[in-house]
Amino acid sequence: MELALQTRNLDKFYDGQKALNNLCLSVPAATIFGLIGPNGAGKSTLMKILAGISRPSSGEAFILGRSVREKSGSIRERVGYVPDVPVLYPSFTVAEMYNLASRLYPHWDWERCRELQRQYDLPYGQRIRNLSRGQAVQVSLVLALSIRPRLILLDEPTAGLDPVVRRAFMQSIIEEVAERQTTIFYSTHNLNDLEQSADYIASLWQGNLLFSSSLDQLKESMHKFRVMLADDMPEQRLTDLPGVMESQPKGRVYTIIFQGDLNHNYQKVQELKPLLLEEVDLSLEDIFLILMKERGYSYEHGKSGPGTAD
Amino acid sequence: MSTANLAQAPRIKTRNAMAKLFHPGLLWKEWRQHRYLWILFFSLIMLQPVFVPLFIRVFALPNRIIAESGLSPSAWVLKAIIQNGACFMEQTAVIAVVLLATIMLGAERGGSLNYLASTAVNRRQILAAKWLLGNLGILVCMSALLLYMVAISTINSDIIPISQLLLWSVRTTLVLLALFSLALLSACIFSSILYSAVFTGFFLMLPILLTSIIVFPLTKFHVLTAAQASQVNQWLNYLNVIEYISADSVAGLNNTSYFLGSMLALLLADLLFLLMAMRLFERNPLERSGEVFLSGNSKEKGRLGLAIFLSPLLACNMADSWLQFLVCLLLLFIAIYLGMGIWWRLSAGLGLGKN
Amino acid sequence: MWFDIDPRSSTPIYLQLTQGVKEAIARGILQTGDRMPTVREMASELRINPNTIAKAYQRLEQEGIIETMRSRGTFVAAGSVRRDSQPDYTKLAEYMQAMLVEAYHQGISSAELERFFKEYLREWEQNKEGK
Repeated sequence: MELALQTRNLDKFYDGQKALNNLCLSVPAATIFGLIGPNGAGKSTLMKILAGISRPSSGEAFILGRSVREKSGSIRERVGYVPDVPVLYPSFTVAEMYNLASRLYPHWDWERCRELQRQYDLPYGQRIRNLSRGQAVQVSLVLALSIRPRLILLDEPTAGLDPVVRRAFMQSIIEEVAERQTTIFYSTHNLNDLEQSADYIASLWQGNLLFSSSLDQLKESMHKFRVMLADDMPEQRLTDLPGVMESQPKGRVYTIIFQGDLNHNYQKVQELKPLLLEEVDLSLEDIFLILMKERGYSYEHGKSGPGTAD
Repeated sequence: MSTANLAQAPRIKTRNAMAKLFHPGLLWKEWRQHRYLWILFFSLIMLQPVFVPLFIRVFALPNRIIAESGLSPSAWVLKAIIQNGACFMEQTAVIAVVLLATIMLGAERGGSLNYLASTAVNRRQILAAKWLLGNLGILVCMSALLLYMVAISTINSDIIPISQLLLWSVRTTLVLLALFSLALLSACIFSSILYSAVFTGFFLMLPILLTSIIVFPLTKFHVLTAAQASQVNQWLNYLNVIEYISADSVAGLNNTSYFLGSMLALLLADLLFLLMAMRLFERNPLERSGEVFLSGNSKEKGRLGLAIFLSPLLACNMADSWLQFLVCLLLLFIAIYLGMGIWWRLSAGLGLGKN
Repeated sequence: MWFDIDPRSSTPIYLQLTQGVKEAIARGILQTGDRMPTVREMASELRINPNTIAKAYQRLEQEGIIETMRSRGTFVAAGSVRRDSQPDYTKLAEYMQAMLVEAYHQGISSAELERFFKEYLREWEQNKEGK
């Protein structure tokens, strides 16, 4: 399987703090790969290293098979980057930005650029500093898509965008994958976007990789049940079952989250002869919250866990 | 592979390397970004030679000095520039060139450097494009000025021989080119426009500083005689880049071989600063939107440097004997070093912003 | 389109899609010989990862529900409405449980429930014939 992106024992120090720790990540080509994690987990740091803005402290990172440590710029000819804060030339107009990008990238596609420009209805003659945030992000996206990329790096680009723009954005991304088998590496807080579109999800926590698996596998590894026990069955029997990650009682009904095989857990609960047992939807957000809570990063009854960065 | 191909291969490689270093797209960007700045520079260069005489003529201002000389205003101004040292035009050109380089690099600091770093060009190319535009711009402006001067001189019955004009032009151009590169290099080191301009100024003042720190105290305490001191001062003067513009200040500049040698040195300095700037630019971390270009301690180094240079200077003026000098030196050093630290803490506390 | 994909559901999206297609065929919305939208079209319309859609199509093709004809497209296969040798009642049991629980809470008796079920089934058959 061809890897569009790979890191090997990647470390990054920032002002003496370790921002990334021994990161080993693999992103297969032609997939949509989502990177999630709380603020300050190191997502932007990783993105900046992959985009060529920062340098690794130690370890290796490869994009499209070539090391990011290479001094030449040609490794980024087919890599588009949409940062969290769009940084372009404020005094340039939109048209001039396209002009500049067309000169910097050998594979620039004016057709694609114009098509996207039309689709987003962006003003050609407006200066970048006079654009709204959403428009600036769209310009960044047009720039990234028009270079005929084989890999696109997106660093929380939809943060703060209105739903209309966000939808158009996601649509372009999906189309890009469908038509050109581009790999999308996408860091975000917005789990809804990912849930719908990601092939794989990885999570960062304090610079470490918590997990990296396909979305389907992730969802299959955890299940949520609603259970109501008979009066004579002590609650302990339920919550002490192996694989229980969380248990929330509401009156006499327990919402239990299990880790592991669905049928196995289902059977185990059935042995307790519950009055009610049904599987409930477990969203990616639920999964994320539980995993974070395990590490002490949670928001419960007004107090925050020890891991919060802000 | 035939021998003919082998001979060609390295040359093509160098040509390719050169072609790759100067990226036409980046050059376009530099021009598009800074074209007004360069037009301003051009106007500044032309200010004294062209606009002043024009002004005088147009408004028919009576000027006794010019009238007495019997020359036309433009000719008179021309003579003033060429034959007197350190005229307005030269002084402004020097400052302008330094500011230009600092601004050309400083303009990227709003985050656009992050954009460039993520595109398909490498760091060396980014810097080389700025250097190239600077050098070309200076060359073009100075060439235009030269043509104008030749024209004026010819019209006014060859008041100044063309050879002299040529010499002046070449000298000044090379000095400006070297200065531009130097300022570009210092802009790579410091993150704020202020600091990098100060650093360049500091480098230019180096001879004077060395004089005051080393020569002056040594002379005062009779380690060096006055004659020896003035000899050392002369040597130090050779380090002073700006002095090369005016022929008189640097002895022997009219000597042809010496002239050629010093001009070559300036040209090499231009290229050396480019290479150093490229290396520095390539290495520096772009963390935190380019805030810290060199290692995080430029502030600390600046404080140390300032203390090291100021304390002997002041101590010298205060003390009359070696012992007094040493005591004053120590006290002043501590005072300046700590004083700056307190000042920084105060200004941070008062929220006066950093850097 | 007529597919309701719930990304938050515990069922993987590709399975939801396969089920959706099967349901559409069962309801008669999709008939034998109808052209299926391309992966690209569906991805764009539903804003779902094309890989997921490709996976669903693969599955459906394996089960013989759809077939791909070279350079002509993907179509609903003939005879795709056929019984598996061993029907799987797990899902049905779940739905059954949910229905019974609801009926219990509402105080609907078993007899009434049976009546309701038969009525609904009859309507369903009628609608299918009407299409």
